[in-house]
Amino acid sequence: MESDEDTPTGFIEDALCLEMEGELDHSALGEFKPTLLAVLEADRSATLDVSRAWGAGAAFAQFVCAAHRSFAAQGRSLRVSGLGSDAAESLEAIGFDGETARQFGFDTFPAPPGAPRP
Amino acid sequence: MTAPFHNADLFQDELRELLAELDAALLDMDADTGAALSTGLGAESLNRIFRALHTIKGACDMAGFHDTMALLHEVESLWDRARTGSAPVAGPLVNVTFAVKDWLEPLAATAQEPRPDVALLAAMCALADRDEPIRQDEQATDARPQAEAGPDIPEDEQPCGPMKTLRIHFAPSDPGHLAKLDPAGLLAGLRQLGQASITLDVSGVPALEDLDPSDCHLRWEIILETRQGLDAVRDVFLFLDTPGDAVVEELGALSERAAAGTDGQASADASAGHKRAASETGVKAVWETPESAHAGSLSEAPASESPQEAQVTPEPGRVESGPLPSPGTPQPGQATQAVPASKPTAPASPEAAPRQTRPKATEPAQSLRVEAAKLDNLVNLVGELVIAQARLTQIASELAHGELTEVSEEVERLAGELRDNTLSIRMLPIGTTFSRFRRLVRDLSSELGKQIELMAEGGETELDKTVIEQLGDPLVHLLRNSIDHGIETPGERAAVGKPPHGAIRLSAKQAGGSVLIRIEDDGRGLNAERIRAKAVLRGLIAPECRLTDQEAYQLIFSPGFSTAEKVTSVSGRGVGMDVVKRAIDTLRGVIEIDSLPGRGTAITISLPLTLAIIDGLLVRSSREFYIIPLSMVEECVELSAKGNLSGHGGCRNRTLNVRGEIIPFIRLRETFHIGGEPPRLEQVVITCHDGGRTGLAVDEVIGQQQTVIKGLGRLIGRVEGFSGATINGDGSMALILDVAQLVGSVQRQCDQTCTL
Repeated sequence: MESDEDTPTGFIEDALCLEMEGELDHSALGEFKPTLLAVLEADRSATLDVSRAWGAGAAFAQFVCAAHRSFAAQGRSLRVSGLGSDAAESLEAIGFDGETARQFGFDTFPAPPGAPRP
Repeated sequence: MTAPFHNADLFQDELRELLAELDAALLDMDADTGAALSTGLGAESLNRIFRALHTIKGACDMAGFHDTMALLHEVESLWDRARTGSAPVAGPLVNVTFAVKDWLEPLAATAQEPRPDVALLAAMCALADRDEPIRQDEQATDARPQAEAGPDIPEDEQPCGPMKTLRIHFAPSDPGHLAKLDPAGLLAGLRQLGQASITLDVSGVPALEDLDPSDCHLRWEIILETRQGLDAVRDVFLFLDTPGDAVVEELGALSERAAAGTDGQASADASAGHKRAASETGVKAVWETPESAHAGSLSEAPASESPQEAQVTPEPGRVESGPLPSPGTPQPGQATQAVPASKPTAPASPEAAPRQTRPKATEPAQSLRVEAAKLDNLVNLVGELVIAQARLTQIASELAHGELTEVSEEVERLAGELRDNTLSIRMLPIGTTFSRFRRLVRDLSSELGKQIELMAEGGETELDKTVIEQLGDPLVHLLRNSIDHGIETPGERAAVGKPPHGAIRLSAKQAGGSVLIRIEDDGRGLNAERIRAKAVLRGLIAPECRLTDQEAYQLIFSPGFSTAEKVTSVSGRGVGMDVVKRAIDTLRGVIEIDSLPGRGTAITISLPLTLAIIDGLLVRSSREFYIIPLSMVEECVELSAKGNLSGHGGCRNRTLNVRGEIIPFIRLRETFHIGGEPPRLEQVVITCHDGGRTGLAVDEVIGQQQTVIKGLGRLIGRVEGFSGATINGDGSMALILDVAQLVGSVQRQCDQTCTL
């Protein structure tokens, strides 16, 4: 995953877009957490683009839930975009199904077959 | 998804333990093979084997070693047939499993999947083919009444029992769980056992600010329909640090008609069981409502608004085991009605939903697995502390400052306790080493056509971890010699009136600051005359040299010495005992041999409890300090300049008459080329080593002290005559003497001088 300084950012509507790369494991998410907290401190909504990330599993699902809770508590939204089909499949395997994903701001779930994976 | 292999060390440690358990169970089974399983004599071993195989398989699967897992599955299948009584337990099956266990050893050592072993696979195929006719009979076997089905195995351990529905609560509670185990791997393991319906509960996930991403706040409830036993399901969670994090309960077996699908309603019940079993027992996850993402609400909705149902907490013994209610989406109220006595505990909000639905409070861990390197580092630091404390004590003594002396004494006491406690952490029972010798004895005795029983005693005796690690090879050599040269063949034993079974007794016990390890056999014993003759033949001793039996026995430790008539794959090249001697010397141990021709041999190894800190005698020669291990010191005597010496020309050897006994001694001044004149009254420290006594003449005997052993460093490496160094209380350095090496070195120099 990119470091805080290198995390590409942009805007999707009002939300700050954060692109996540690499494996979405606990250590990478731990590194990414300050970035997301900084967005929260700036009182902005955020969109996590995970189209170039892989290895979504329990750690990622939990992270999104936690982040979603924090953003919601502040009246902001957190969305997740670009989830690949493999990642969606992995999340489903731990019981994080499509319905749950939609409730937690996933734009697509499961991703269309053949979604690109780095 | 590929389960990440986060913690190879943990996997390797666990695998090593499991392989040891498999080895022990196989050996027990091997001993029980002749016994009828139906009597239960071998059933426990069989179950242990099955459990070990199954757990290893699960571990390999979680670690991503799928080829290994597949092979283990096949081995497990072979044992499964033995377990269900449809195939006999026989030597070939035990041997193949031993081979599989050996094949897995590199995996435990390197965490790299081993290459396929063609011979092993062929042996497995042959075994499977041999079982083929039995397989054809399996239907008949299965048709037998349970009472006739063979071994008395608990029903919940039978892999092919009736279809049952299990409910599994899985809530990892250990800190950093996600850094160690991927829950996806565990859930995948459950899916392999049957049809699993997985419900994820995210209500325990904290806000991002409070989240440590390596901790797991997710919880799962899995409804599993399986024919596997409870143990098989529990084995999936074997690697959890806190076993209580996963609770497996049986909801009640579905009826066979439901499993077979012969009855429409029953089948419908079974298929609906996944969805409804949770509500049947009054358990359902409470979900966080992520409505804010859509509605922008600042508050979180109460649980009743969540897309999932709020339910009640299960209580042990309240699980309904009857048929499932009719299909239909259950409502929370219905669930409560289904189990009317259950207490509704649905929290009002996700935040109010702590892990109170956890079925069991986690218990504090009773043990902690620590990386060995961390322990070594701790011991080193304690060693430094002991040295610093010695300096403090000395300074306080010199300054004669009351308050400082008081503090220094307190620090000394605490440092002593810390040292003892730290060293005790490194102590391990030697039984772990003993257990692997059972396999060695089994294989070698089989190879040599001998019948040998190994008896181990005192396995609970503890030794320093380093000592135990380095002791394995010497003991292997000694055992191989006992098996090959000591114990006779059944025919030879019968000829001399001995029972056909030979016996090797391996024992350990603590004696003061040492541990005595003894290997006794009831074989033919050592032939001192033959050893002497061989030694003369090899030029190790002069023909006219007279040696006691004890001295003759020590010759077997000479490099290349062997009295064996032929070299076998086991021993006879004369390499092993030399290695043994050197290894034991390195451990600062002593070997003694007792033997009675025709009755057997006993080899006793005396080892220090620890290698880190020893009791030493601090001595001085000129300005140099030396430490003599106190365990080797017998007494100290004074030596006047005109003392009772007898010279040997230019040789540095001297002898000393101590109460009528002539004892050779060496002067450290001369040996280490220290200049200056010795004092008028020298001190001689009489040491005992290798069955002999030698004096070490020094200027002054300062006294006994705890000695923290330090290596001499890579630059200097090993120096003959020294086993290390230590720092004295005043900051000066003292070299620790390896008395046996030192005396041997001086003796060789002396011999050369005499020859010249």
